[in-house]
Amino acid sequence: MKLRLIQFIGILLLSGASFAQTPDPGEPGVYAVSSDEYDFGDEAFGPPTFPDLVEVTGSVHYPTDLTDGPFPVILILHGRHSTCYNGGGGTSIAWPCTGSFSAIPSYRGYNYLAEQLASHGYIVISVSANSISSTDNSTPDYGMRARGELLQHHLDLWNDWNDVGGDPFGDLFVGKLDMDNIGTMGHSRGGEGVIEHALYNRELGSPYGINAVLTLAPVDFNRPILNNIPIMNIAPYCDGDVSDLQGVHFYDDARYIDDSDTTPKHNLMMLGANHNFFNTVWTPGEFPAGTADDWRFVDGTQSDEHCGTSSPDNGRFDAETQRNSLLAYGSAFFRVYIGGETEFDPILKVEDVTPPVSSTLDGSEIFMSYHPGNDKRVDVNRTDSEDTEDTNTLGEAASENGLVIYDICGDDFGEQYCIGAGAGSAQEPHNKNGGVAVLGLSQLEIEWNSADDWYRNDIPSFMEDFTNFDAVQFRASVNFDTSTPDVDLNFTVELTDNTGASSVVAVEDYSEALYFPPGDFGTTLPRTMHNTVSIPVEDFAGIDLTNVSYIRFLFNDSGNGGILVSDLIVSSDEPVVFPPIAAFEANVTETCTGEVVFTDNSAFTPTEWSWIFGDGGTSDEPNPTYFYASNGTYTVALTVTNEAGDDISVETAYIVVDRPEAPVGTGDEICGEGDVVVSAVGSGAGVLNWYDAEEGGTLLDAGTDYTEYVTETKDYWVEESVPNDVLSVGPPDNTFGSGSFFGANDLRGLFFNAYSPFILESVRVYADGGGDRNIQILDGDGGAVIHSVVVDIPNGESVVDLNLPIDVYSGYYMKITGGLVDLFRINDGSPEYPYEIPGIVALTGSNVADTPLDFYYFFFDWKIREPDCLSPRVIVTATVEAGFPVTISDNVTIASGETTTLEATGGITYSWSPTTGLSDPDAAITDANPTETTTYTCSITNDDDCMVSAEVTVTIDGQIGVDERAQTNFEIHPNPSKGIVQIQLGELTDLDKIEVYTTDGKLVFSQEYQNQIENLTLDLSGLATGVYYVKLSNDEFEYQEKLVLQ
Amino acid sequence: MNKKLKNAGLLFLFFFLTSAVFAQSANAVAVSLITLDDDQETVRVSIKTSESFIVGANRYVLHIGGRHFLMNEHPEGSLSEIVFFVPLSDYETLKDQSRIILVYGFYHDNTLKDGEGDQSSDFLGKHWSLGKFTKQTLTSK
Repeated sequence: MKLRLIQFIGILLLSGASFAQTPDPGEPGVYAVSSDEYDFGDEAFGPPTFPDLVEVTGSVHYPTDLTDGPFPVILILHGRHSTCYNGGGGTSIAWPCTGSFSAIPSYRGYNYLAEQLASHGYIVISVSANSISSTDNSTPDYGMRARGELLQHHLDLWNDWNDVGGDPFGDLFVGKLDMDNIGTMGHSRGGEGVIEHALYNRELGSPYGINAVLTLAPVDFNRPILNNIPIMNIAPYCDGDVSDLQGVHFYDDARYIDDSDTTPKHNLMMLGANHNFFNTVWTPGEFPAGTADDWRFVDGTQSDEHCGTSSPDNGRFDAETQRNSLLAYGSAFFRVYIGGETEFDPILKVEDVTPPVSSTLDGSEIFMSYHPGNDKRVDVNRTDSEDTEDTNTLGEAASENGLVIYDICGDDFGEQYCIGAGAGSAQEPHNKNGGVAVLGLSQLEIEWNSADDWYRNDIPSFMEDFTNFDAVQFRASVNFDTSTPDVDLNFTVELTDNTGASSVVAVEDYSEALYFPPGDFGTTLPRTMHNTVSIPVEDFAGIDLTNVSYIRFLFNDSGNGGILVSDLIVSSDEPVVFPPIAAFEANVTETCTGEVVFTDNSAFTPTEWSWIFGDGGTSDEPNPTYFYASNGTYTVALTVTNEAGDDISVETAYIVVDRPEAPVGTGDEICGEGDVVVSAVGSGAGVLNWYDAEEGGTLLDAGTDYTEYVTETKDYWVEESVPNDVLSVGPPDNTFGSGSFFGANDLRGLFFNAYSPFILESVRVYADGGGDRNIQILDGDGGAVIHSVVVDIPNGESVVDLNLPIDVYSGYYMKITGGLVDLFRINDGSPEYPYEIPGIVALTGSNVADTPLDFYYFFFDWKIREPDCLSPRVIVTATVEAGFPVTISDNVTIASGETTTLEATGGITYSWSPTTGLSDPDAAITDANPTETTTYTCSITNDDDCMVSAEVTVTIDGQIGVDERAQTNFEIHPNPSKGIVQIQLGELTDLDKIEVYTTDGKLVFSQEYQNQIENLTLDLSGLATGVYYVKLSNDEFEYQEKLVLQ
Repeated sequence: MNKKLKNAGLLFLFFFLTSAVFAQSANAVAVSLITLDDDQETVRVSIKTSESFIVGANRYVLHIGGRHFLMNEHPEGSLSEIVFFVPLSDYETLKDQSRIILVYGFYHDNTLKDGEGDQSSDFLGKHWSLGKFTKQTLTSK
């Protein structure tokens, strides 16, 4: 009863707040409703990504009088549930159902919602997906894409019925559906299914207008992210099936990933709801088989003080209340974003926290989160990185006073969770890692114990006029781990203007979001869930709201407590566009290579960028890579522009370039063409590299000189690459603590940060047995694999050469993976993290939960080296002076076996190449009798020893791919011939074969012989007129002769 | 053992368990048998219950030591049996005396129950302890 009493008090407190009177979206509408079903069979459709055929079955609820159409469409998809049942209450998950079993109609479980929406002028379709439920656990994505494909198939059917009609509805729905205005709702696995469907529809070019997506107690196995469509997730606090409420990721993940996303996101937390009661077919007492109160899946005896129905004074909703809440809030969502009925906006935007009467709930039982689109909010502090502890998203100061805990958590793989030891991940739904290596919600943990404690965010002058905004918003959850159990919290929010005047309001006057999370069931309850607190700007009375200086949370109400905070924003009901705030960073600020990668960090979505790098170089790219040619210290400026204005950020003396001196190059000079030798002298500390371009280009060679045959003047560039010293980091060996060989699995490793690029050259390991081991570096524990190498590590101590390039990143994770681990690790708490080289690398800890600093895994004595320092490139030119006039024969075509004469003039010496078929390759004039088409090059030198070359091509017409002989030993009569020819073989009486070829080498006649013959007659009258070659051959000879057929 | 599996094709192996009871139910859940699939690349781990496995949104996860397996099916739709598909290459790396835990739901914390760090918390989610995986307890049918 305690909670109910608190709720009642909450109602009284909130009754003092002034809210606009919001209509009740859950009331029935004006249309009479009809319904029907369609069924094309249990195996009527084959989703492209699913191994089985699926049923095409559904229901439709619609206004009986369709004359006002076309009507917007709502498409509903149920989740995974038993698929078949029999009269004895037995169930199975087979498909199709056989024998005495019939299909469980899960799709009918939302008829109550369908009727409600249809009464407001919607055509509501609910489809069956039993076949997918039957076997989705054996597919990699749990059938999610198949669910999307099934929904698209149903929309295709309805599109046809809308266009031309057809069975089973005839022309009833022709022109009655607005296929450009569709909302979808998916329950349970159907929740991820409708997200996947919206993405699939988009991949297909958006043939249908999906304009709102509601996920109801969904799973989020694969972490798909849907932007640019309004979404609402409903999280039932007492969900015993998806007991970690993972669907909240749909909201969290989509907030900041797309700068162009102007659509809102909502998350609705129902404090007493379970998973199943939204579907009447899954609800005990409302269907004969397969029903359950799913909280029992977690709490078999229903004993939890809040969710357990056996517990006195529990906070559970009965099935009707749960459905009423969906009727009210689900209707509000679709009626705003599909129906355009904006009068329900205050419910969704947390401007009116009093639940609609139709929901049968009070304000302590249901909580909305609201994330406005990008054009209707300004992010004051996204709490998305450790940096936001000191500098907020607006680039101004973030600060605190006296707080016991003030820490960003959940922002990296080393700190995935925010609550300490003993808490189950189901107690932190925002951070729960569902097996996909994606972080959850980064949030600010605050704990206070004094009325003097506060948390403050300064406001920049450009947005000091808060009358541009309607509300100050943030999300918060009481941290049950650092707060007094069962005590709700309160603090005040203060706005201070630039005159020093302040106005303070109490959070409890606007929201009951600071409730102590109820329940006490092991590692499931209590649980954190961020809920939005929205305070109208106009309620901050007595200050100059056009001149706001900062926002501050004053923890002067509850004497102590802990909260988790995210998404501190100011919001507006109308679009607000601010000029961009310029900001940028470089991957390095000191470089001996000259290469710097700049990243734009500007706020408010710039559309143009203008970089000035300080050495005369510029760029208009958002994230340019720039090469500094000269040593020096450079000031960098970035100007960013959007439709509202521009801003400039200047970092004075930001980049220090200290490159090795450029080498001194020496060119070469030749006449005509020939080998050139270019050379250079460097410092001697490095290697001279030759390139064909001033930047980038191809590495031609390394060394003090470079030789190349050239025919014209050519430039080369040479730079000196000077290696940096090898540095050591990490424990030099395994003697600093005690431990043992670890081989239980491949799940352990080290985290490290790279503050500037380096090469990880080697590590020292101690192996319990030799063998191939797979060393991987990932972007976090479970993150994407960046490097993966297999090395044969011998038994005992050894140094493993890796030579892996490491870019700047915080949160690398290095481990051994695969079947063989068995390497030594320290486990006695003796590591002294961080092991670091300031400015380059820091080894920060292990991935052991709760005690990450007690363990040191596998990789000792890291040898690292920063990238080679690179001198500026200098140009070295090989000059080719003009040659002298020469001539050479024209290109010529000859028959195979014929000879032609080639001639070159203009020099005193000649050299032909290749020499094949030439009578005198070192003469000005030479006979050429090549067996195949050949291009000859003649190098001609004059008396100044200048050389030029010229080419001539001798083309062979009639080449048949045999060695031709200058003189044949047989004769063909007559030749030319009409087709019948006599062949006088002469001495070639032991031939094996006669073949006839066309002049382009195509075999058109062939005959073999076993015995000696003297003369023979061939009938070639079947061949077309033209020139042929007759070839006689055996193992010892090949002869050919030309034959003309007329 | 693995060589026998490969050579035998479909070789049935019984798995004797040191503990095979519901963690929160009086009804038994136990590994029934392990077979090599016809593809010779997948080991099928069959688990049976005398009542019914949950059919819901969440996933059953089979943990054997530090490894976990997700892909499964209910043969012929029967809710008294669930079969997990374990790649043979992964099966070969499983360690003796590893705990076998069946969990309803995937929890990251559960993948790290390998004896390192704070072991004060048990497996998260509704789960059943199915004994230990030891090669000594495997015999050919």
